[in-house]
Amino acid sequence: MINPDALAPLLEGDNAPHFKAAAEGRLSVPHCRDCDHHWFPAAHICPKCLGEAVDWVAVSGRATLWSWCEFHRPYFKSLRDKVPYVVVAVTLEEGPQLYGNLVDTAPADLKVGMALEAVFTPAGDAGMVNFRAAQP
Amino acid sequence: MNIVRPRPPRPAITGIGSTAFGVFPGEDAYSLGSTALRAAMREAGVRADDIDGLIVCRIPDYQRFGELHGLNPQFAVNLPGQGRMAAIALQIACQAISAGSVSTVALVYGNDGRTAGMKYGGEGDGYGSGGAGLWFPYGMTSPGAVHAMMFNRYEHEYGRAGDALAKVAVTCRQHAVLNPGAVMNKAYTTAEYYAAKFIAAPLRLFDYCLINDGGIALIVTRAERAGDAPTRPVYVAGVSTATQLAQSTFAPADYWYSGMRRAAAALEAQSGVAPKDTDAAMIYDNFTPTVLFSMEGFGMCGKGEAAEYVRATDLGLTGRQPLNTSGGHLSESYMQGWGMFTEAVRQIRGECGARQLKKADNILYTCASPIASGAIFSREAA
Repeated sequence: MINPDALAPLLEGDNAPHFKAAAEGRLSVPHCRDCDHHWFPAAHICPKCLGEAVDWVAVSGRATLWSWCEFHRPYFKSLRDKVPYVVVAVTLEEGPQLYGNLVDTAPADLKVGMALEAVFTPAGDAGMVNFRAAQP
Repeated sequence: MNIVRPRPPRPAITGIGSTAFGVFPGEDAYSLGSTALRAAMREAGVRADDIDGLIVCRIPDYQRFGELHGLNPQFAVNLPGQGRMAAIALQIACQAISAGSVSTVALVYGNDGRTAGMKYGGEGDGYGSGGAGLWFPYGMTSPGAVHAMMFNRYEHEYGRAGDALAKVAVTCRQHAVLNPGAVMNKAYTTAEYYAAKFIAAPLRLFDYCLINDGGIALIVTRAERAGDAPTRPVYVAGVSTATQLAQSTFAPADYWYSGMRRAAAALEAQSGVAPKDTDAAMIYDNFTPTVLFSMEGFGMCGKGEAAEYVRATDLGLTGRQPLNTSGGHLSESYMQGWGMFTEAVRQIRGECGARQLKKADNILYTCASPIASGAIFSREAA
């Protein structure tokens, strides 16, 4: 269970490989060796071809901005001092979507469809995958 | 795909029941559902032995609920406490009746969410595919935030929506003011709408629905039995659902448009009435943007045209197709679609007092979600 007073990704369960890889600076998602589909969150079969040849692979970290919102209400105690903060929904170059926090980028500069890149933020023994405007 | 067959006789709603809406410490989903069910049974003139189907929603255990009321129906179904389930309950009931397997189905909804301290963001957030906990470390939580993102993207695609959200919210509140049963009964202005705080920007406080306790029940029976009831029957002319579950951890880029188009087509085929030609629209308003998405999905206007449609249209009680005459989830009560069913029935029966529509022959219900759904309630048996 996630501790609401000290939010950090879980290092157990189906998505643990994603957060462990992030701690090492890699963006890792499930991949189907049969049909080359990438997806997230984890699933034990490929949601596209229903094949079982599933492994975790590193992807580019290149993404586009699907949309975002700015949280003004702190739904968790540990976020009381952080509001307002931005959560972005992104589409990775390889297809899967992710939520993440916006870093090193002014919210006023956001535009749907803009190029983003993954940035890895340590969170205990895990890592979080956040996003910033793609650097030229 | 929804299968379209020659039209069977329309099932009839012969009894409805609802509790008061508000905060009721000491009540729970069972007691709220029970109060509503007993009221609906009295209206319909049915006894426990007459009920041969039981569908409960947001009530933890169908078995316990059945035991409490001495029920031995042919089938019993338990649906989770999600708004998208209301039309599914109605669909199951109508299909079972149309198939000839049962005659009278009790549909019961009980919601003690307010008293139970239910929150839709934070620890208790179960929204999304498999729950939202995966994203908590990023501070991503709440269906409202998902809808805020959808609306943000929608405005990027189709242009700024102007005052469309404000007009939806203000209109629903104006209707609630005329509804003595509504939780919220104080009107607010467009300026007050904009003065309210952001929750997940671009959405503000009044873009969000309420959280309150309450219960709703309906008795649905086969058309031939409708004449036995002491009430004027209201017929279910159509009810349809269509899902978009693939990749549904994230909101779809079409704002559930394709699912709604499928549901709308099935609804029109069943009922012979286009959703846009009904006398009022009860549009599931968990958040104001879904009202815009639903107007497009159910054909009131074209794709991307909802903001202009809202601007140019009288959504009030004197308009061509009034919106959420009870005040909806934004202002009447958060009964997750069920309160819209009872409002439709009461409008058709002519029981709505100050908010009564002059013409209420066919009334639409719609819900935009990973399970898009719609229903048309009708005065006419065929």
